[in-house]
Amino acid sequence: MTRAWSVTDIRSMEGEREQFAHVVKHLYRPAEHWEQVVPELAESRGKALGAESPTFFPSKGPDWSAVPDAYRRCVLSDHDRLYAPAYREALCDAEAAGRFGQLESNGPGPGWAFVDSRGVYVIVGERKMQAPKVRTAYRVLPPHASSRRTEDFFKAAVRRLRDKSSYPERGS
Amino acid sequence: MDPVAWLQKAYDELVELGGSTAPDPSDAWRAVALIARLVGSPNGPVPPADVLQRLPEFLATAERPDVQGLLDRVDEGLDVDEDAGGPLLDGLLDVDDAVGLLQLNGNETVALELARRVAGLVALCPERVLALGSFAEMRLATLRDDAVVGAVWRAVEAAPAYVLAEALPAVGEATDLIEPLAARLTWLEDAWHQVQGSTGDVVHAVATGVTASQGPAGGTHVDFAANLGKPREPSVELVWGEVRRFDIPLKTTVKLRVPPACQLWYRTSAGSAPLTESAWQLEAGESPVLITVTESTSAKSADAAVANGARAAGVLLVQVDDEGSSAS
Repeated sequence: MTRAWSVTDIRSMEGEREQFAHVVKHLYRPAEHWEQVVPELAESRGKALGAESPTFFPSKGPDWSAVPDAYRRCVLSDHDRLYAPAYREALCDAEAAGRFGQLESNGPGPGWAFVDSRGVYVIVGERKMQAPKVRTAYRVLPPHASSRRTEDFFKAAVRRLRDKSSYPERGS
Repeated sequence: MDPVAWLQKAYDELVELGGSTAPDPSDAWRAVALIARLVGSPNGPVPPADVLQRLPEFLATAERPDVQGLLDRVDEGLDVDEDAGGPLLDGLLDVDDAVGLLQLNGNETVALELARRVAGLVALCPERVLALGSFAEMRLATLRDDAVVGAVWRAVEAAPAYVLAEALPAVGEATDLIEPLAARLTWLEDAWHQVQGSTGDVVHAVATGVTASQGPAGGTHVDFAANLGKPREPSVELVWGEVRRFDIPLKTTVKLRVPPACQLWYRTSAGSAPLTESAWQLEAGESPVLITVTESTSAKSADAAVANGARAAGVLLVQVDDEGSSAS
């Protein structure tokens, strides 16, 4: 499988609503333990809480239109400061390690998945006549909640990469 | 995704894990899941004997599945409007793994109940799993007909049928649906005649699994899978030498799955080029768009492919407004 682009060509998540949704659904989700990737996260969570968050990090995320402005600003700031740098770093790490594969008909369009050494799983969508874009970035949950070491997340992510994509290529 | 290659990857990974002297619980869980995939397949590679001998050790090391936690993961994945190939598919694969582990551990009843409940959850949200139809089809091809976990993947595969009736755009069947447009657009008339002229022995290309779902921008996502194989029901036939018309709203994505030996091309009033993504999202000002499938892998253009004797079929995408009337 070949790509006509490199990870440096990939656009980050676009649109505040999309960025907000993914930060709340993934970066703030306790079960994904993003503090292993972004040590500053604990402090940020506290700030978001202090900004009158409507509900404490629900897995489904609060309604964008219903959240207070201060909370929304905190979340969007965390996208730019913490989440986007983390998933962009993950893309570079995964590409350097050859840990990526093409997704075949199991998403909303053509795409690729990348897994970095910290167990961050990034899905990149290819778009017609546009630069590819990050569709989501999350940490694959290990089979059991009791497994929460970085190594557990890494193994879980690589295993799902194998299951869902062309990775590993034959002969690699 | 090729079922044979998928099973081969499972085999290769199992061989690697089998070489581990002291697997941790997650490695043991994975080894059991891979063994289950291989022994549950009607025609894939069988697990190596030395690894299979270690099954009791793997089962003892792997933790018991948290059934409620697995149901919660799938439920959560179904409820969140996000790439279905992400956490949702992970959750379904977690269930798949757990069912295999439960069965190999002799917990057939719990495995059956888990599979049924997940299939029920999927049936409640068919629109969320539409994009996973191809994956489900592949997974089912690696399972025996009576496999317990088959209930999960059949529910995913069947989801389009529930959504299809309401969401599928009208499919043009008659030549007179193309003719009025072709009479006004010289490029379309030429391309249409080119496709018509390409037919040799009539071989039917069958479009199966026509599905639709709400895209992220509120548009309709149509998964239009064309296979040159045995026809399945429900199906929409594509025929070499013919162009079928789809009247679709703006932002609708039409996706075609075609055999490896075929190429896709698009043509609009602005020109023609290869279609590398196997998909087209209809944008404002593009209609009509002709997507051509040619039975060729090396041609530089659709014209060249047909000139060299390749057969062709086409799909004409025509913008329809919200009231259902065509804008072109």
